[in-house]
Amino acid sequence: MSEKILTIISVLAVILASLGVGRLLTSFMPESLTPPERWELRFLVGAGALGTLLFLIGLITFTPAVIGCVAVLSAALNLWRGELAEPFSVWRKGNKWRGAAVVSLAALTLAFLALASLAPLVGEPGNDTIRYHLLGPAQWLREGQIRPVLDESRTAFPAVVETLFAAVMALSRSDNPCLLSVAFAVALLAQVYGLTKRLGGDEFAACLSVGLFVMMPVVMVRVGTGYVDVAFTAFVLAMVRIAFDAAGWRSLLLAGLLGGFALGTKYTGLVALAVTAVCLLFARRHAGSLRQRSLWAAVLVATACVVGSPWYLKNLLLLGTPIYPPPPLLARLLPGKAFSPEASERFQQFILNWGKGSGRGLLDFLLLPIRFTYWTNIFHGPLVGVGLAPLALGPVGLASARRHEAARAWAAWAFLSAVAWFLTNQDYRFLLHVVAVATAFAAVGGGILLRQASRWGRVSAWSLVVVSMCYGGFALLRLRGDDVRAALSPRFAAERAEREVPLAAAYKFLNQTDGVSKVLILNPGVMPYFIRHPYVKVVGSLGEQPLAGVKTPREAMAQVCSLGVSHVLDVKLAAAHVWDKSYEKGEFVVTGEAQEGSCLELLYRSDEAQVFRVKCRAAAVAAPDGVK
Amino acid sequence: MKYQPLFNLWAAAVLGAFIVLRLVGSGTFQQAIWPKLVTLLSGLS
Repeated sequence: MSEKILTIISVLAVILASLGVGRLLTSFMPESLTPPERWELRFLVGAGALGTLLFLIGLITFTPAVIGCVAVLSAALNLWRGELAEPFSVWRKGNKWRGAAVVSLAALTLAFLALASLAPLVGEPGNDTIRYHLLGPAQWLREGQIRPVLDESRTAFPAVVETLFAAVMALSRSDNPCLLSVAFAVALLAQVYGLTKRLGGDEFAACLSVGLFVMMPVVMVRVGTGYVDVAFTAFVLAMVRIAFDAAGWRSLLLAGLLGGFALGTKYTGLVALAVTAVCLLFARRHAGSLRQRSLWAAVLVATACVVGSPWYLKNLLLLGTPIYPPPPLLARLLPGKAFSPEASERFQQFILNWGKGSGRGLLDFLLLPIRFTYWTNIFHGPLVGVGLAPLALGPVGLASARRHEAARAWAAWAFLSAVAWFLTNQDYRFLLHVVAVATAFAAVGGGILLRQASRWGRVSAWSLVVVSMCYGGFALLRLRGDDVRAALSPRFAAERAEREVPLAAAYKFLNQTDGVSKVLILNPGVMPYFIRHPYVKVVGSLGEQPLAGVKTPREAMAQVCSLGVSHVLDVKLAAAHVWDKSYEKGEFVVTGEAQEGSCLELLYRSDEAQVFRVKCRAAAVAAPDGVK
Repeated sequence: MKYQPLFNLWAAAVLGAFIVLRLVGSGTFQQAIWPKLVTLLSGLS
């Protein structure tokens, strides 16, 4: 069966399994949720729980058989009681053409992105999908256990979603599980729909919010890739939605559960949880006395910390520090394994430099809405990435909903989240939850301006919405068009891989060579995701030093016979994220002199890469693996 | 709504600024989006 069809079936299996687990917690949901929200929440809670469960099992064993058993048992929970027609009920109830138009637009966009997600992965070393989101899952499956990948410290980030990616990879036996992220995008769209209604918008406004959101390049450009920002945004918004609407302990526990999954998806979940707790304390004054609100905030934080703790405990126990790679202050208190304090300092500088955005002054903050709208590229996003609606219509929505208590709480939450983002890392991906709230407010405002009495006012507002959505649509076509083409045309995909994967020919040679049991990678710029064999890297892309007692490629080559490797990959590649100046030259480590008289046999050489067979190791160890 | 004319003016200003800055001023549509779209469609066909 085709790999793509197997991937689709595996993604459906993981979605069904998530819905099955989520089925157990539907009674915890508040009554105020709309039917689409109940379904997306069921998926989100189930996906988070399934990801965490698979992670805990994976610490012991992580094989396709085990993953398959967990998926089948989880999916079987759906048979308990079926409500499969429910999500479509909103479409059936009135507003037929409007609902149909929005559903069609969303379906078309998501189908486009789903198709794009099936393209073979390519990319530069800066592509996080290849660098670490999928490298971790690939390595865990290769080793049959979830263990730290020491040469790429970012694989130790919390990984609820990556664990689900690994499940898809195991079930489909493919190396590209990115289609799963489309399911999280659907959940996020349902969130925005429900949030708009919660802020006082009617059905028209709710449909408008979905239309605006699905045409936002900043949100949709990473759908169908290995990036987890959309899933993270969905977890965070769900947590806040349930926490703000909670009428009892059960709902609050559900909010804490979702907060735990946010903590288990990205470290920035810690900031989102803190902001939500503060808003529960001060922005929801009608929810009870300060003492009661404090108790609620404490329960939310405690539940989230317990649910999200496995990732941090794993890091503490296996890598020496709960947050890994550790920030400098933590690195001094609890030094991380294979990650020096100096590497930590440099990584911090890199993050600060990357996230400086438009600056951190008061004027910069005041200009943020305008800059984020027109010059999203300052924040590493696509130009005009959020469209025009949040800036143009958001103020109308804010003004009209200002007497609505829930709207005030959400506005306060979005404001505090934006401040936290502004002061830390101004990368557009980390602000998507605020963008979602801004879109909901904009839709509430749009509901007023698009139906006002003034004809010219209506024309102006409709022009804005149409231009904004069309621009977003064209931007998405431009940004992901090549992916769709690569998914449809194997010839184009092959050409693109040669063009856009550095060292593609060397990877291909290694993958097609018999008898490779373990590859020694000398250069930190190499992306091991593309190598289908076990490997060991001397220095990681952030300066990680995974081999005890070996700090440089030359030291590794001096003891190559004792490292248990069968082949050596040596490349000319300037490594951007490593601050050792020697890597900037982009030179081979093994030169003619070094090779002479050594135990290396040259198998492949190009201008940028050379592959050697290690003869001494081959003679001693690799014969059973079939080395020629 | 009390300040509706003001909001209409604001929305028109945001749209106007976008048209000037992006579509006309930088030639984004003519130089980047349209040729890509044509390439994509011809590639698919």
